Amino acid sequence: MIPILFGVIVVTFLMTRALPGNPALYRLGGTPNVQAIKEMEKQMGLDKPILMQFIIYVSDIIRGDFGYSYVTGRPVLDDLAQRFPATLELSLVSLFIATIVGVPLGVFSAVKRNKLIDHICRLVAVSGVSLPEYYLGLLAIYVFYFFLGWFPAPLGRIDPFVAPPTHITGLYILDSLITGNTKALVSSVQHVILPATTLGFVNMAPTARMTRSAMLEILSSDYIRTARACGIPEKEVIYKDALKNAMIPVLTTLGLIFGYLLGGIVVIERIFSWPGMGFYALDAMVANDHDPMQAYILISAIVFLLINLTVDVSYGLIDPRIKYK
Amino acid sequence: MSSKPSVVSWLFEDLGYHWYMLSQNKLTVIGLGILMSVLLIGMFAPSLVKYSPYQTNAMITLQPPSMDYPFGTDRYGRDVLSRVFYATRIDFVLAISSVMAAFSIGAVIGALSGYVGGKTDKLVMGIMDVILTFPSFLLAIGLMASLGATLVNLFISQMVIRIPIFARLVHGQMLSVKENEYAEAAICAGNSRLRIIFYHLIPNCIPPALVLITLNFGYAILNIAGLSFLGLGLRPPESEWGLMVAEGAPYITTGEWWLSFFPGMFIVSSVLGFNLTGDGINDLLDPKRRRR
Repeated sequence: MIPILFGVIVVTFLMTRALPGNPALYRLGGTPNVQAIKEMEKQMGLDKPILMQFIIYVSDIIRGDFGYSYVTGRPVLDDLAQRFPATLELSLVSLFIATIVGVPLGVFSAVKRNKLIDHICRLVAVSGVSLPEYYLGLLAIYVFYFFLGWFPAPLGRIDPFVAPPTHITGLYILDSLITGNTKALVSSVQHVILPATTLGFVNMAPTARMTRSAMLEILSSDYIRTARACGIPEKEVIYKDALKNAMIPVLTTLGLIFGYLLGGIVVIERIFSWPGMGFYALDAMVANDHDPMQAYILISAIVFLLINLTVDVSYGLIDPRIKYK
Repeated sequence: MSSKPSVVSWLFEDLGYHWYMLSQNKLTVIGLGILMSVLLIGMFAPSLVKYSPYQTNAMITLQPPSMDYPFGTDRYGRDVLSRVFYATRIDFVLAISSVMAAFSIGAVIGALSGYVGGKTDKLVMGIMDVILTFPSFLLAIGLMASLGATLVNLFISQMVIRIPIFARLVHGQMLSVKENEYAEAAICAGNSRLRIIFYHLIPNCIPPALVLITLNFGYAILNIAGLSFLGLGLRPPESEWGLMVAEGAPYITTGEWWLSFFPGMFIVSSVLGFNLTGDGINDLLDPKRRRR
């Protein structure tokens, strides 16, 4: 894993160095003269050879220094930390929706294989994969906000006139539940439903697909056949025996889905004005602010790596036959 | 028995049988139908539209769909239908070419690396793994931001993020296939190693890749549209589905739905077509499913 991590850092570094524009220029702002630019470059360490810059970069990262955002004027790490709860809340709710709808859909689809209901479920699942998140989000806004008026305007996590709950975890829903703040709870739930359902629906599809294919594979296996032959009721066969074994590939999919979430969340946050890390990175990109972009891509890759690692390790826990080296 | 043991000849020899198997699955047929329709629209776009996709008309901006403008007009008075139809060409050509390029390069890398084995293999696959560690859309965003938003760069970024996927797949296939007896026999018959790799082994690594290729056509379209939506892909005044969705986004809250709706529907249809077809090919190639 370490060499891969190193490779990831190298790639991120190279990509950011290739970004157009001179960071020294942006840091100074206005129209400075050549002398001032050169001074700033020296100060930022941009005049050193590339290898030197890379070493400085890595040592900074290890110390937790991800640079400064010239747009907000604060260290990138502080900015990201502030916006992290928003992205986390959205990701968790989306993942929850995707799983709670996707897994049962997949199981149901596998059990009632090739009947009409299976085809309908598959069609729903496939359409979920085919929909771009931003398109579904826009449609959702149009139908549920503009047309039906069921949900509030896509302006962020909570109604502008409702004070956010006291900061315990940073997750509005959790905090409002803990502090018993019903007004904030209602408002934050209302605001999270549209973006989370959009992301959840799009990611429900691969989950359902994977569950279905895993279940199909298992349901035709020998030990299931034996279980049935022994007279164990079908419901027990499905839920106790088959489902548990299907969990392994489903877990992999959840890991993959988190990857898609990390990618797709950027767009959703933008459409719904959700003040998360993705929106932050997008703003940085538009403003040619290099440090935040670099940090976001690096952190996303690391998170993705960690999640996949966790999934791999949990294989060993779930299936005693697999030993993790 | 044909002299060229390639999967292409296998596919075409039994074309009638394969078509029969494919058509058993209604969804696959629907998928193929959708794809054919969109492809035809793309190919014959010039003869299907009344107005040029670039022609603006300040008198009729933001018109809802009508007889004259079936998809309405955008904020510059351009015919949305014509723009959507022309966008088909760019999106399809970009998607298909970048995926095919990614497959070609990735398959060769994976096959050679798998055949050679050893430290080189570990290094090459390690590089592939590094690329795969990035969430692909984010990597595409990063690449497009660094390289600049041009057509060629879109092609390059879409290709680069996919090469590891195909490399990994063919690599795995190669590992299992190179030990087979026909490979040994080919060595005994005096074939050079290179010839064995390209002529005998790679064609047998391809069938599992067919599904992945088809599905990736769809994902590429989603990616290209997504990048253009964020402003990192094709730029105005080009017609591209994602770009049009982005241009129409501010008007969603004021009721002009047709600007984003129609391009989006085309995205969905195309990707749906590829997904359904890919699933169908998957079912076709999986003997276990066929038996049931």
